[in-house]
Amino acid sequence: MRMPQGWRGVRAVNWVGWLVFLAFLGLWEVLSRRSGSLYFPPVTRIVETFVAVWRAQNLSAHVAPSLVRMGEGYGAAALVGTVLGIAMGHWRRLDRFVEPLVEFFRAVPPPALIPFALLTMGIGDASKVFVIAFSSLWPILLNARDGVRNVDQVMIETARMFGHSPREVVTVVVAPATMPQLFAGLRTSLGVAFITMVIAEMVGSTNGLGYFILNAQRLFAVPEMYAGILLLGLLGYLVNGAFERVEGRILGWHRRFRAVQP
Amino acid sequence: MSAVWTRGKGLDRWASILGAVLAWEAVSRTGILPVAFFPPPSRILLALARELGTGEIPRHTLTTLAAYARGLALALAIGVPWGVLLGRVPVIRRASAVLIEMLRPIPSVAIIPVAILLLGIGEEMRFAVACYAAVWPLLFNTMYGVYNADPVLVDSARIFGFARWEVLWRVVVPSALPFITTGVRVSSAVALIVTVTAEMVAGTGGLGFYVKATELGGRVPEMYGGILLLGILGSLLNHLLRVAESQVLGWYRGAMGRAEEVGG
Amino acid sequence: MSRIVLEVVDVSKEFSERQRAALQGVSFSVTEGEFVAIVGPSGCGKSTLLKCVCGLLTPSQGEIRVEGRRVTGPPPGVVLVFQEYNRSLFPWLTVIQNVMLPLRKRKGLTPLDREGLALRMLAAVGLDGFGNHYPWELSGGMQQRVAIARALAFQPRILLMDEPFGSVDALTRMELEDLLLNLWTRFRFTTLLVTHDVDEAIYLADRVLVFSGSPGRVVDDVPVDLPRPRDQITTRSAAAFAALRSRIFREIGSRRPDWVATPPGEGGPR
Repeated sequence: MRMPQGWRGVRAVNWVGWLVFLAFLGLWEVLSRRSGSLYFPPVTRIVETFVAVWRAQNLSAHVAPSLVRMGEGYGAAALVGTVLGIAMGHWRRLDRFVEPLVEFFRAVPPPALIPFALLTMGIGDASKVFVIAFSSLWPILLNARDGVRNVDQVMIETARMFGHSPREVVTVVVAPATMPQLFAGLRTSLGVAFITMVIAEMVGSTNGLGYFILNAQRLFAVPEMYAGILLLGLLGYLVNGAFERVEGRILGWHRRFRAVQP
Repeated sequence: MSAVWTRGKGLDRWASILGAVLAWEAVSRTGILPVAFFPPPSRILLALARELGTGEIPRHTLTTLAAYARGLALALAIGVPWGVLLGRVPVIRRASAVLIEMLRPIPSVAIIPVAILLLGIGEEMRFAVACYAAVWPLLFNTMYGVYNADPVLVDSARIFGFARWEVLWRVVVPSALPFITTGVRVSSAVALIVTVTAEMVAGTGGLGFYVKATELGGRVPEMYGGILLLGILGSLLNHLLRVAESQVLGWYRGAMGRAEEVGG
Repeated sequence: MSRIVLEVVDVSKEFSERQRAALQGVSFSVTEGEFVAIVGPSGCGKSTLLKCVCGLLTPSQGEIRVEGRRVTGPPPGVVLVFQEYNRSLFPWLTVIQNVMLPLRKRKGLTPLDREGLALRMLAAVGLDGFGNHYPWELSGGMQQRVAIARALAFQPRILLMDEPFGSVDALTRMELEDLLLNLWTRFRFTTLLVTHDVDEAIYLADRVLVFSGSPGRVVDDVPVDLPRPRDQITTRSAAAFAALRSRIFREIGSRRPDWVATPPGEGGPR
């Protein structure tokens, strides 16, 4: 199973694709200048604004807090999720007890929690970090649990047969075998954390990238709004890229393994 | 995966939820945590019942559901055919690849301010944002499923003389169905999140708006009631989709299950 | 009446991704009702040849004619049974629906006709009563039988089989071989079967085309003069069988892999 050719990561540059993209930008530029629309400023204007806005001051006032919150929330979720998930994968009784609660909490849309967080934790960073952590917890938790559960019995039996103690089996077999699935959860959660950060900042914050974009809209500072959205997209791309690098290092073996599966 | 509703013996799965609720009730009444911020479940349920009676909550629930459902429906109508097109026609896929990948990292919620500019703060805006958000998972999942349709299956049909378009709807789309239904579930979750967010950011109605308004107005039990309802709504929608999915995909579960046993 | 139904004329096939050609200058013809086996080691282009014959691939050079007409796309009346039976049967259809599906492409059949034909074919392959199962509920051998039933219900002019029994265990393979012979004796469809199993090729066929090398080439065309009906035990123990076997093995050029130690005192064929 693979992503189509010409989509991602292919050696040859996708000339057609880039052409279409640039044509799209060109069209935007032309139509925008022609109509003088307030809501769709010309591409060049947006780029100008982007460069002007994202200087040190705004970066530290908005971008840094956003990333810090997201980092803290995601980190907390990763820690709790991994530990709890592995525990649930290991001890059936714990799993049976906790699972219904997990299933319910998981279904609560993250924005719904923001008023609760604001009420109980005030308007500071803690409320945002809490919401981010809470919503990104579940994919990690469930994947960690499933990863532990799904470790191939054959592999475990092989290790036991060769004389490994139960504890060694965990470090030698279970831990590495769980990694791919754990990382799948970590990756999903990264996306969730990112989105939740934006949501939390739009709904209940006075700084951060999400707040910036919304505020720009309120002030009808339209090019600034787009500049914010653009930066958000760029950050998303970079964060994802960074994650993939790390994953590639740790899970390089797994990628190559999957590649040769029939 | 909606274990709350389907798995285990009746008592078993509700036991922990009931246990948690009772524990909360007990803790809340001891006053360890400020009651104003952490009211006991009994008070929350009472407030919820009251609000249901006045008709306020049902109204808001319907508002949210309307934006969600309309958005999801339109997203299906756009996302699936587009995904099939991208999955099947290499030229179009290559041509759109860069543009789509450029848009992809932008979270759908970031579009809310743009939507507000263009459509104001009413129903239309929320429906539009829900639709935008829901299109992407459907698009990608459908494309992936269509692209990865088993070539042996496609060849089998071609050998018997089926024309290209027949192969498409007799073979390619059915084999992509498991991916499409996954896309529907993901899209559903995203659509709900984005709808609720839109309601909170610039709301005139809906459960998101309700939760935010009650918090600002200091009506804490009502706020919890709203959150609870949103959780139930999310849970219920997910469960319904899973039930629908298993109806449509009974064959898929079996086929995959067998493949695992056989080791192939 | 020995009408030629399939002609392969100087067919070569190259794939752009790989430097070497898969097939080189392959020529042979098949007469109506004949059972021809193609045998050769893995990777010598046998499957590629079959795919060209049934129109799923186009030869880089040369031409293939079915019933005198040039093959450009899947020719009507030519059917291929795949090695991967579990991937060629539609998992969302039941067994009977699978067998009936291609019949929609046959003109002049009412739904009732289609069903009747499908049921008869399922009975012919010994799967009476399994019509309402899903393919993946059946064992590997049974699934391949469904694929065969599906192919035969279509009443093809030419039946192509690509290592059809390669994925089943040895005992099931023998059953399926005999089933195939049984059906062929009844219906006498022209058959072209590709296999890497030399014994199977000799056991089933009237003629064995020996392929070798990469790119694939026909190195010999061996008539199989063994009496019919064939029997797993007696036919395979016949002296003639062993002679054919030796001949074909030599032509394929079987070698002992160099990482297997040669027992002392044995020169071995090299």
